[in-house]
Amino acid sequence: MVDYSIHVLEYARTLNYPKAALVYGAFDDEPVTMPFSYVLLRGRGHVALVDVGYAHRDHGKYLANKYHIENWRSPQVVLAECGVAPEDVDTVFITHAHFDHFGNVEDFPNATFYIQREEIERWTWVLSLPDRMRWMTASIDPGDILRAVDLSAEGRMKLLDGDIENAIPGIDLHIAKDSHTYGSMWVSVRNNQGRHGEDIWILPGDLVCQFENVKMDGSLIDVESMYNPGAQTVGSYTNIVLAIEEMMKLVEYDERRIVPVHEARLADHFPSRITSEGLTISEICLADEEDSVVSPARVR
Amino acid sequence: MVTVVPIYTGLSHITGQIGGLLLLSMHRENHDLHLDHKLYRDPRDRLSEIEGNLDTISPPKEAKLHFWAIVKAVGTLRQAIDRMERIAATKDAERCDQITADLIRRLHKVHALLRFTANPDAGLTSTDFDNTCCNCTGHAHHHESIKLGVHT
Repeated sequence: MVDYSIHVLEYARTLNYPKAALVYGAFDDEPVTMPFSYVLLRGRGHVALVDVGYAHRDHGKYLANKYHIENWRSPQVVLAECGVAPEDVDTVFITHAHFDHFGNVEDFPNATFYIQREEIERWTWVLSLPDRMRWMTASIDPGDILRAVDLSAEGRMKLLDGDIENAIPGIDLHIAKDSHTYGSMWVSVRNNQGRHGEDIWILPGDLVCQFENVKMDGSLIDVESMYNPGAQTVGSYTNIVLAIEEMMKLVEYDERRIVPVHEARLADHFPSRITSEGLTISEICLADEEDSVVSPARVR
Repeated sequence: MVTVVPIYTGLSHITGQIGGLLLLSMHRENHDLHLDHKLYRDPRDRLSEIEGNLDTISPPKEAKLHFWAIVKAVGTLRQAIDRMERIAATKDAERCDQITADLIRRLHKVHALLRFTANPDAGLTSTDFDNTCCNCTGHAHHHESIKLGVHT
C-alpha cells in the first residue's frame, strides 16, 4: 500500500548560484541552478503542502529582478499541473519562516498551517536586536508574521512545540532547533498505512538542500561518504548534521528517501517532466491507483 | 546628515516584533516566552528612540510625502503598542478580542505605510534580502541611501 503521492513542484529558479552556499566548502565547484520548490502530498483524504513559496507581489518583483530569480509562477499555475487548485489544499507544513518557504500563505484560503513555536519566538527576539546584528534577520519578511497573525485570528495557524506524530494520518513533524533556522522543521511521510519503518520519505526543508549534504565523497577522510551541511544557517552546523543523522536513521540509511527541494538534479533521480511554463515536476512516489502527472514518466 | 534607512528598518522590525508577540500570545496557553535574553529590546523603547531620531530630520521637499508616511507609521505603531498593553491588562475575553482585532488592523496599516514608502534601491525594504539565500549570486549591489537633512 502507498498512501500518499508526493510531488516536488518547482515554482521559480535562480541561475549561477554558488554551490558553496548550498554545500559547505564547495568553493571550487561550478555554480548551479537552484530551483525554488514546494512539495505536494495527496492521500488519505488530504491535500497538503510542505511550504508555500513566496508571493510575487509587493517586493516580490524587486526580489526577482535584484537577485535574478526567474520564471516565478503562482500556486494556481503550478498546482494545476497536478489537477489541484490552491483552494483544495487543507494542510500546510512550514519548514521555516524564510520568505521563499513562508511567503505566500494568502494564496491558500482553506489551509491550516503548522509551524514550530520556536521559529516564531526566536525570530521575534531577533527582530528586536540592534542593526549591527541585522545579519540574523536575513530572509525574514515581517509582513509574513503579520499574515501569520491573520491566520491565527482565523484559527488556521498551529504553533507546535517540538515533534508531532500523525499531524495528519501517517505524517510526522520533527523539530531541528538552532539549525538552518532557529526552529526548523522536517516532515516524514510513513507511506504504508502509517507503519513505522516502512516506506518512509523525508521532506527536509532547507536542512538538506543538495544531495551532497547527505552523501558527500568521504575519501578525504577515509570513509565512503559523509554528511556535509549546507552553508547558510543561523544556527549550528552540528545540529544540522545531527538532524540528517536522525532522518537517515528513520529511512534506514537509504539517502534516496531524503528529498531536497533546492536540488535541480532531482529530475535525474525521479520521473520528472518540464511543464509548458518551463518548470520541473518531480514525482517522488504515487499513491495506489493514482495516475502519474509526469507521464510518460522519464528520468532525465 | 543621517540616513532614513535605520529608521525604516527599525519600524519594519518593530512591526514584525509586535506581530510575533501577538501571535505568540494568541497561542500562549501555559507557555512562557523566552525573550528575556539580555539583548532583547522592548518595542516601546525602540520606538521612542526612533521618535527621537525622527525629530532631528528635516526632509527635503521631494521626500515630504514619504516622510509623512513614516511619521504616520510611527504614530500608528505607538497606538499598536498601546493596544498590546491594553490586551495584557484586560480580563474580559470579548473586549480582549476587540482590542486584538484593532491591533491587527493597526499593524497592517503600518505595514501598508512602509510598503508605500519602500524604495528597495535606496535600502528601504521590509525584507532583509542582503543576506538571503538568493542573494548569494556574486552580483554586487549598493544602496544609494536616501539622505535627509538634520537639524543640528
